[in-house]
Amino acid sequence: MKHQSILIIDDDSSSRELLITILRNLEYSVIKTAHDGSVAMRIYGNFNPSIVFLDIEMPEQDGFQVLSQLQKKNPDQYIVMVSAHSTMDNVKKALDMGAKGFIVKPYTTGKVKDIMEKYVRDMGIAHKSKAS
Amino acid sequence: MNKIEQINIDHDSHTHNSDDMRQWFVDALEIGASLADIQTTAKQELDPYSILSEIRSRLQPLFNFKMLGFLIVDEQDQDFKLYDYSPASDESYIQKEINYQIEQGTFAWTLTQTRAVVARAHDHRYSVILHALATRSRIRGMFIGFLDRPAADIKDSLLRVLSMILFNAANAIENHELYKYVNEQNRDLEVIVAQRTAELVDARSEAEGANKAKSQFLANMSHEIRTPLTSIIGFSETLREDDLTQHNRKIAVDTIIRTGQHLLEIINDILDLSKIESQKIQIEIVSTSLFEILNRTQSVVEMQARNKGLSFNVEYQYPLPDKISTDPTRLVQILLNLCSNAVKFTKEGHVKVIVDYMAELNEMRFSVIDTGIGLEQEQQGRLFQSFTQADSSTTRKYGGTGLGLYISKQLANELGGTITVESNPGKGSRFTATVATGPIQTNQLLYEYPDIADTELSAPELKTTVTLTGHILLAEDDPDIQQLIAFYLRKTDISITAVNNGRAAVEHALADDYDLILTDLQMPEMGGLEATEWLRKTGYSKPIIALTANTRNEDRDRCLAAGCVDFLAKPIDRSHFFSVLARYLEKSESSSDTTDNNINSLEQDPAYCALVNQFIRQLPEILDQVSEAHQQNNWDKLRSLSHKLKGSSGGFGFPELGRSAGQIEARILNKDTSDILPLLKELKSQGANITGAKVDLSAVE
Repeated sequence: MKHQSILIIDDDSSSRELLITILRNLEYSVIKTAHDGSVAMRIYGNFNPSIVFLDIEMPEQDGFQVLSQLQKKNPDQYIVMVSAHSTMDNVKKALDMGAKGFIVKPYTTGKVKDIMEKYVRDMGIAHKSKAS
Repeated sequence: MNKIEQINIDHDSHTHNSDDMRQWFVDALEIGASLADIQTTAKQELDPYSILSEIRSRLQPLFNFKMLGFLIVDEQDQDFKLYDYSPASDESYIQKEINYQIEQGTFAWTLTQTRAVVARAHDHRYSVILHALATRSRIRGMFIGFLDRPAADIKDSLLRVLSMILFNAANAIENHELYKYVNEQNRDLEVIVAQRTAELVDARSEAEGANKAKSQFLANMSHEIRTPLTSIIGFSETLREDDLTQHNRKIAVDTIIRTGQHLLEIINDILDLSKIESQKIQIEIVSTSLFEILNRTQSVVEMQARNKGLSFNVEYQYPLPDKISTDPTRLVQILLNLCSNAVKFTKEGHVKVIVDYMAELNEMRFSVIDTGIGLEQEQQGRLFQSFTQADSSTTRKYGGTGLGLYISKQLANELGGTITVESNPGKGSRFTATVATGPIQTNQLLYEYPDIADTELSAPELKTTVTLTGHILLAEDDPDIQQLIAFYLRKTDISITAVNNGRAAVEHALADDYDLILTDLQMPEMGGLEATEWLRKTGYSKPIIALTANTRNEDRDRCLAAGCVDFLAKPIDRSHFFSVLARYLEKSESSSDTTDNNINSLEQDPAYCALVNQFIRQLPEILDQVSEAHQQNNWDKLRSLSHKLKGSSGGFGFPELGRSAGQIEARILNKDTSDILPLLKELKSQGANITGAKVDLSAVE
């Protein structure tokens, strides 16, 4: 079992379910979900996830707004933006705002694995640069 | 003259009248004034002191000197020498008097004075007048005059006139000297100017010569480039004709490939050459296996030699260093050039490379020996020149650009060595290349051929018939290259999606599942490197290979830094292309196992199956909602439904459904719903297929 905790923020239940399944398959067990930004912020209050998967297209607040709110609480929060659209504009905006990854739906084991591996890499680098 | 003498006599006897006196002074002043002209009129070749005899001959009657003379300072020993005197018969008397006055100290005393000093002669026969010949800055000599009357009778006013004349004489000498000096300087300057001018003329004609050689070279080169292009275009056009026989088609294609390769060779050489000329050539010295370099060379040359029925071998003269510090790419380039030339110019016999290590110089020596046509003495001289080499007649006969040797020699120089040639016309040539090895310890020397288990060497060339499999995303804005790559891949199991720019590459790469991305670097909107950087930032991990026309190491480093795993040089060498692809793609036979295993692991997961089933169960309802929304022209709802389908169906193993849904969504977003009906029908029929599939999955449950 892997220790990283994960928060999924997505209004589409089947997407959430799919991601949970994939994560469980990859032996991640500490997973919480939220179907919109306000629920997410409530959960976030007493849950410090290693990684947040954050859908961009959500009805109330979109993913970018939630991204800003999360960053206000924790500027170093590792956030991966998720979208059904792979437009360059979205990709640029997400990464420029400080997202650490970008996944285009549908979720696949490969894509999620890539993100988890990048997380480990990035944390390694961050750890090293903090140590030095 | 007589008149002046007369006056003097009068003056001498104190019976002067004022008119005569005035006349005397006028004459004296004239002498003084005329001295000022001497400097300008005197011939510059003349000794400046030559004016002294003129002055002497005019002073004598004016003062009625019995004897008089000038001493001047000898430049060598700084001693006073009697220079000019009269009468000529009295030299020894005058000299004796001078010696006497020196002994008396009068001479030295006079030198410190700016006026005449009158003394009694050693034999008391005369009064002796001494006067320094000096300017303010420098003593030039001494005047000595003898008068046959007592010192008390010599008037001061007369002596002042003498002072004035002698002072002017000294200045005249100095001026004359300066004038002469300036003239000499001018003449020297003229010589220098003439010399420099000649040098400039030489330099200019040399530059013009070089320029002419360059123009000639460019003319040759543009001819060399046009010639293969003409045949490429010509033969390509014949290929368009339908009634071409198979045989002629083959000839055309072969010619196009051959001339195309020749053209590439020319362009590469010209590029190398211009880099060398502008001193931009990059040399990277690394520790390299000597034997690997020779193997690489041998594998290429052996084939060329075999094709011509020649034998080729490498003779290792041990001990040889295992590793040397050099630029391996450039060294191979040099060796290939020398060996290829040797093969090219040899009809029968052999080509041999003798390799030895010159320990005392820390140099490797490669001697390429052939039994070919050889070179005339005169040809040998021109061999390594850049612009005189490209001779189209040789090129036509033997191929190549004729620039190779020049380039090789420059490269050898860069590597700390050189290339020399010995040749016998008709018997063969020996080209010797040397390169620096860097310091080598004796324990690094080998006495026999080493075991090279290097994978790069032993890896067999991949044959193009190997079937690779996978899905490639090709980002390339040149449709010709797109087609060429598609053509290369037509016999493999590789499917290919082509996009025209980096932005589209990022979007496609993230949306679909590719095994490999091939990307051009220079594309409109977004280049390949930027796209690669963005993709890596999103967490994208699939291999990205850069296609680049620049093969320099720094370009390769830029590609790797951006996140590419490899790079392919343009123009694409087919076998190299496949060997690179083979590093990243599965082969058809083995691929099924590994990929299926991955899929199985998720599909065998009961939770996943349940999700899939749930999705399938909900699907008819969703599809009904889609139809309903369409009938009501509720585009918003239709868009959100297709969006949802697009997002989920791919993940549950129904990518086609997802794609159709995506297309419907895109149409609505673009407000182009005119032909949405066929897409809806397709969506429905795909949905129907899936709900049919549910039965199978349920059966597993």
